[in-house]
Amino acid sequence: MTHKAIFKPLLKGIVPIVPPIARGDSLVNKTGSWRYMRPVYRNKLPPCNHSCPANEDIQGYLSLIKQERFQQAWELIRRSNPFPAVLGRVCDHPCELACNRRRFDEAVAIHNVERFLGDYGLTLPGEGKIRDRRGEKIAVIGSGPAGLSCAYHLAKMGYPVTVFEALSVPGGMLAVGIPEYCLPKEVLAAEINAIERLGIDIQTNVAIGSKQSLDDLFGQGYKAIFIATGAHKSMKLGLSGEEKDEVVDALSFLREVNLGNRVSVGDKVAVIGENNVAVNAARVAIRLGAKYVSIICRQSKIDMPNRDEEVKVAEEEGVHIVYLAAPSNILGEGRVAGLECIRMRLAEADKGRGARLTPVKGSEFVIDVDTVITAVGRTPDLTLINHELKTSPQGTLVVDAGTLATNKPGIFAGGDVTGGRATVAWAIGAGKRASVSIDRYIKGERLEVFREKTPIASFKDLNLAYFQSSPGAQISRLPVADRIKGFAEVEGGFTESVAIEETERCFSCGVCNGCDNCWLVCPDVAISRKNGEYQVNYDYCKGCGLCEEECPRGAITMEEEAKWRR
Amino acid sequence: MTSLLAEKEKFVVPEEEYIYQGHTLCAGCSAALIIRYVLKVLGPKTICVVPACCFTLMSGRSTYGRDSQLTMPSGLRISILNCAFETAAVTASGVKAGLEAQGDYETTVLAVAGDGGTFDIGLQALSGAAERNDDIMYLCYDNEAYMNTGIQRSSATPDGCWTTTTPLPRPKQGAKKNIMEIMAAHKVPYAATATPAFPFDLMQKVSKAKQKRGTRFFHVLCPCPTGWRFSPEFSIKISRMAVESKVFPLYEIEDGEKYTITYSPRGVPVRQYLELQGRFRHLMTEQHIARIQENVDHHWERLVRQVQA
Amino acid sequence: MEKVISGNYAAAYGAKLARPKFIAFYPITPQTTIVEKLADFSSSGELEAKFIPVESEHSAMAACIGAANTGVRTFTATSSQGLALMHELLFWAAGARLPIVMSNVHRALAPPTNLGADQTDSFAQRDTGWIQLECESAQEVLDSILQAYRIAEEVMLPCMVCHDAFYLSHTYEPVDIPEAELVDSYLPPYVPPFKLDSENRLTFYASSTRCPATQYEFRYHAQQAMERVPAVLRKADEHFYELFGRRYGIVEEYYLDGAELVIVAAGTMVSTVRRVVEEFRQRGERVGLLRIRMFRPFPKEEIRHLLKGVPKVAVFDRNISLGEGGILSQSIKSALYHTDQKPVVFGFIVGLCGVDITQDIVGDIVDYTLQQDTPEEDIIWTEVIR
Repeated sequence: MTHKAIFKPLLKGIVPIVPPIARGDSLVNKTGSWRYMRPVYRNKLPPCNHSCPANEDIQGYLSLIKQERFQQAWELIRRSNPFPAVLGRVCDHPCELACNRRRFDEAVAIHNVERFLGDYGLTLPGEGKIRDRRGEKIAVIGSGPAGLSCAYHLAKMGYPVTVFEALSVPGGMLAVGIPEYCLPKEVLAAEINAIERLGIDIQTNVAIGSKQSLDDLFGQGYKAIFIATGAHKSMKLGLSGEEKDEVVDALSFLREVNLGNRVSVGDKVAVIGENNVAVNAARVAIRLGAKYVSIICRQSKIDMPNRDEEVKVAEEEGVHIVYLAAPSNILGEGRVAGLECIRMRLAEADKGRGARLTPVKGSEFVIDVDTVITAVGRTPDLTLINHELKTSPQGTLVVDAGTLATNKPGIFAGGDVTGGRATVAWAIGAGKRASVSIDRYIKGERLEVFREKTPIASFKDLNLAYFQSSPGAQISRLPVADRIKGFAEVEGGFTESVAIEETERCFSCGVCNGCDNCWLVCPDVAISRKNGEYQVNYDYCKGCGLCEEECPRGAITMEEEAKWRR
Repeated sequence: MTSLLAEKEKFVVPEEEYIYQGHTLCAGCSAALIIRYVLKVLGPKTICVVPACCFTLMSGRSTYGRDSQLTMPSGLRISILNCAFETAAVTASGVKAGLEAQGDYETTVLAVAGDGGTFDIGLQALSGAAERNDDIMYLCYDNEAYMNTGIQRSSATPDGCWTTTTPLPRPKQGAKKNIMEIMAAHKVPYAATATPAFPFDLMQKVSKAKQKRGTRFFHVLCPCPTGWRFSPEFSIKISRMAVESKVFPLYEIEDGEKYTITYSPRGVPVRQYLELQGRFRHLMTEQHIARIQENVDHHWERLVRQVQA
Repeated sequence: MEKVISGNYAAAYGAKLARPKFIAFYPITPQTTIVEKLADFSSSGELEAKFIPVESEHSAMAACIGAANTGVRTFTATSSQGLALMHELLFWAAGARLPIVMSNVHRALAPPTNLGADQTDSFAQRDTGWIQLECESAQEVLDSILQAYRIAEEVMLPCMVCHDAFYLSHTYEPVDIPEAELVDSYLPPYVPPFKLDSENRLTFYASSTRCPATQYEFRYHAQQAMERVPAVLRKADEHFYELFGRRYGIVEEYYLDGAELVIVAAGTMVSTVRRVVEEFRQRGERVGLLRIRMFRPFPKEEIRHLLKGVPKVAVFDRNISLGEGGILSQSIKSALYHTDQKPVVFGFIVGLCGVDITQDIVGDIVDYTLQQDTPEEDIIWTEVIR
């Protein structure tokens, strides 16, 4: 072992002054090595989007409206829904039920914003005819929301589409099931026109099955068929006296009214049912001059999820609702002279929606009515359709839940004809899903589409500290007296400023909207912004997790570093 | 409740950064955030005076580079002068006087000291500077104990708090020193509290203070993941809860007399603030919490009276 | 211009003439009249410095450090307890290589409280890295402050100029106060080799814990700067002589020719010793005097050279390092350790805490030393007349 000490010499001549002062910057310290968790920007699925049966990117268009980019917002919503003006009016908006804001103060009034956006879209020139890029003809049977949605998306893909409609007007339930005070005819017509303008051929008064069968359609060169004929057949009460002239089913009643045919009702109307069809029938009866209108409801509440307010609105208009009562007998020789009902009792064990109901013996009572409207359910009318298609015991077509394929190749079905949720949004969603399946079928691809599971942005993913409580915007309604005079639209829409204000309430759950908070809270200046996007500099990010914790909307995830993973 | 994101609209955060990446303050350190916000407002014509405290890490560590060149890899884009523990305020006074003697009246001299260096050992120098009303800015980032030496109690440590020198079963007894009242008693032109959870409030206050001359004092709560025993991602949440629970109200005092509360807290129970931190874990009996809540309410009411006076 | 002024006023005049840009002040007897006089200069406009009344000596030094870092000439003054309070910051000032000049009035450290002259206060700071000058007269106080800036700013180390309480601080003497213009030519404005400002980003004194070698290096360079001080002082002294006709040297030789006994002393007692030495010489006794003017860095070369072959040396310490003895005698002994023809060194503790050192005491010490071949004790105490 050798020793070598270096002796510093006594300095001669010019002696440098060496104070403990220096330059340098900490960029030399790659503090990223401290990290065992790394933040990554990973958007989650907003619950509204997740819950939308029409698969709308709700958060997306709310955000665009907030930025006053209406045109882009409209284009975005049309990617899933060709009926924003319609759906904004008639949807039961499960999105608002799912909205995280509901647990904070009030859900964002998405349907009203959608209506605003749809109405805005009607002022645009619209999309022009799409030049057919593909040769394969597609037939769509039924021009309701499912049929037209499917036709629209297929047309956008370049397929020539023919829509066959049995009735004299297109629109299905939208045209004949929903009263005008809720969905004005011109709004529906405008959106159908916009769809037609893409080059879709809608043939009305053509009931497939009566003159040409499904096989005939294939014979005519159609490569695939989408059945969306809806559920237009009312179910029966099963009581004697149901065949009387003054007893009508609600669907026929609404259809006749909507088609502009003369319909008259008596002074005293009882509507039997507990769904939105019943409520609509009652409100229409009022508008047709009935003096006393009651809804006989078996349950303790009307079954209209997320549209409770409409029950109140109906009551304002004079509709009386008799809860926990069921019709037991239609009275009268010849004409209807009254309705005998029996009280129902909720079984003690399970009160609530859908609770077991039992009639109370001896509690019969009579309501003085001269007209009875039944709204106790509806079912598809498949008499004209090829019977080789598999049907359920409920009389609906059986399809693959994901692809909407029936048991016969090339035939797909969706909307009310397949049963299920029976809402407009769901039908529109089904139409789009069918279009995707048909496209894949035509191209000979596997029908099933693999979709990556994106986690849903839950309420606890949010950092509520960044949000301020603010009540949702209210809409206006016509005064009752003006309403019941006719069929003018009851609800007013949002003005532009109100719509923008309402979109500002959106939490943008799980989706980065460029709020800068992550950038602001980084103690290591490791997050940079460029063109509205953020980047983590992993050379310096210490993985403290502040950006993730402080992200108001849960759009950042902390992931374990590979080197720490076992 | 004012939303932070709504406040953002009111104050444009300056783009420029005056702290470098790679500084060696702990992950999730509030002090780094505080200085980042403060310097964004003060800008490049600022000199930082730093006594012994965690923040000395900001000036890096002297080393010889490969070329035998001495470097001090500082985390700040401005000059830092390290000084003796108890001298932050007066060293800043000296620097300011030296600059003024050379005609530089513009540069802000900012002393950045911890609670030990402010409430305890540095109080005399701070009092001297405040009494002379020297034209300096003094920022106390209060992490409520001697953190750089490893969590020893200071006179800023709150009642009932665990530290290594107030070990269980006898945590710290007695309330923390009210440094803001001490500064108010000096009639300094501006004194304000702030936390990194309310960066716009903090930056607005710094901006306001920048317009003034004389001794300007900031008491900024600085939750310390290491010393307060919480996971670093909660630094800001805890700051926020301190404010919302009224444990650490946000206010300012002008000329020692004009009190203004700059944020109305929601008044969440103090328990919700305490239970986020390991240093209070032993405290979770109703009796303890009630006592702390009572003190918090008492101080809040006193503050409200001062605002009204 | 000649004025009859106290040693403290001489210090104040010296400071004023040096045109410092920053003065921190804090009162302590017997230093107070220095800062009072400076306050007068400041309020009359004769002194342009930023004049900051701090709240302690500790803060006075801290403020000087802050200001000196910005590259301005600074001054402060203190004494005894105040200097002890500054202790920590004396290391900061020297370690930071700041040419701060400070006047220290030697006063005893408590307890009990005592205002009398005693060198222990500044001698106890000998390891802090300051240059230390010991003055004998009011004139020397003034002149040394001007020289101190010249030296300090050349080697970038702080300098303390010390004088005794009351014997000098409050004793009036005729002092030549040089013309300001002439002083300006001797002491031009300070041009700092580094400075703290907001234009150039620099880091001052970042921790060296990770790389202690950096600080080892700083210490090496500070010592190298100390090594340069004697030559720099000599040059500054010569230039001073050219302009003002006065010089003091590093040490002063008085009747050293053929001396059999050399008294080594510093401070005001030197004047008393001079008289006694003259008396002994007149009697034919070969007694001489070596005055130490520069205590730090310690003038080892000069001492080895001048005391070589001298049979006996009597060191007068108005200070004591308890447990060791007189600080000056320790230093003398250690300086002589490697020389051949070592003198016998007698260490006397004299005049502590403001006790008078009379000609009688000095005479008795000389008699004693001349009679003794070797000291009876390592530390020799003198009889104090109460």
